Amino acid sequence: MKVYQLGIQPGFASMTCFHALARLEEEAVVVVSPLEPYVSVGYFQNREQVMDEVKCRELGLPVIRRKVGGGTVLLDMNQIFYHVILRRDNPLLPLSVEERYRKFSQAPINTYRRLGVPVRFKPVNDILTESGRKISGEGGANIGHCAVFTGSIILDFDVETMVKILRVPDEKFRDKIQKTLAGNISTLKQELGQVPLRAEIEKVLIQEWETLFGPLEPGILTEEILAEMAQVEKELTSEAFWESSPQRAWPPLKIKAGTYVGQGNFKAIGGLITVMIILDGERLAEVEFSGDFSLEPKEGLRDLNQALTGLDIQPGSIENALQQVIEGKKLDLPGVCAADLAQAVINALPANKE
Amino acid sequence: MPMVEGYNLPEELYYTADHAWVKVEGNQVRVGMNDFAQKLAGEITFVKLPKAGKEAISGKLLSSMQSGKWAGRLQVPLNGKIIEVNKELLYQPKKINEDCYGSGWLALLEPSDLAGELGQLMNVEQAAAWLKEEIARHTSKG
Repeated sequence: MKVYQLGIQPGFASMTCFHALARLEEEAVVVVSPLEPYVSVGYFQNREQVMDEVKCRELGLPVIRRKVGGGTVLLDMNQIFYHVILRRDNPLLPLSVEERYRKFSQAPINTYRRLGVPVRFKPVNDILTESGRKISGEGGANIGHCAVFTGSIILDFDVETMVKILRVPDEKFRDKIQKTLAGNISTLKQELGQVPLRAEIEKVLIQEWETLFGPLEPGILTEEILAEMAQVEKELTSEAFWESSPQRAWPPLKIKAGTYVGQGNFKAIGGLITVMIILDGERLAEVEFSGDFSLEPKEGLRDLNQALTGLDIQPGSIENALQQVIEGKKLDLPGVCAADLAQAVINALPANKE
Repeated sequence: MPMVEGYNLPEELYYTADHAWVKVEGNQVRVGMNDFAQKLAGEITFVKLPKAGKEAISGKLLSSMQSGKWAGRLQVPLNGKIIEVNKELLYQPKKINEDCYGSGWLALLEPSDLAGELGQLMNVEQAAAWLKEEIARHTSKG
């Protein structure tokens, strides 16, 4: 098995290389960073719904859709990406998705630890610092006859630019996302106060991959691989590939396992209800209603928000809590009932929590 | 329902090495993901479905699904045409985990040569044997 230690590569090479190797059924480990930043959209996302294309163009950020799951991310030189490509019939590949993440996360986990950052694995696919901040971005995909595992060692992260390129309903939401991201993710720079030398990081990372896979032979990008990468880039940036995106985008923004920022809408007889939530596990950590419905007294909006803050999302719990506060505080909402407000919240939740 | 190494494999269905199940319904077949695959995937959070009316080419992509940011893919089992897709999965993808052989179905196909191609799929005995071998191979060396 080979290791392609590609250093810093221009264009989309850090994305196309593993796609190409998977198509060529070449089992390998890839370690690479992009020279210039670009945006990568997850396979199950809809570009128009999750990303601000105008802002990306303004910022000079190229965009590519990948065949791996997960969200929209900003990729730049401050991340060292690792990709593992294995044939799906290779016994080294665990059968379950969770076991794949658990097994292949060990190399980056050990790398972080050897660099002086204590981290741990949190199922399904997070690497967390001692304080519970996410310091990884892992994903995977079945591509042809291969399985690909992807992730990055995060040296530093440009949260501000990341949030700028996301499509959000309003600036308040963007602000909420920025604060939530900044509070929930970490980087080597944040943990150590400085970034270790790239060469040192890559050396440790590759040693850890060799602990898992045995000695890895250095690989170079052959003409065949480069040709396949060019083909992959053509496909992944084609209109046909963009148009094959799902119409219903993968909903709420996942910050880390169990933490989501979401927005939901519901058109009641009395007007449009909008709600922004932060969901932490099964608990509504923050709730903020808005909209063009009438409410008297106006302070009742704060009461509605507080009624749900800290609430566990059990069936019926949201509507019950809202009904209680509407009755208790004698809130007047013409054409809007507790069920309407609850539906707006449900619409903000990730799938499977409805 | 027969169990193989802890996974359900209904007797009346056909199976593929890609972990799809196929149920013959007259001149049509209903297709889904089998119990083995849905358990190993974990909680499915998103499903991408093909368009009804589209041609289905055996071996090409039928559906993809996300679990833990992993993009899994299921191939078309038989050549034909896609008649209907299970749109409920767009909002409740977890139905695949909860009821993979029932309400978690993915697509209804009209095969172009059902009699000719059905023999290429595995019946439950063949699928059970294949599955046991697959599990043993990964368990011993993984």
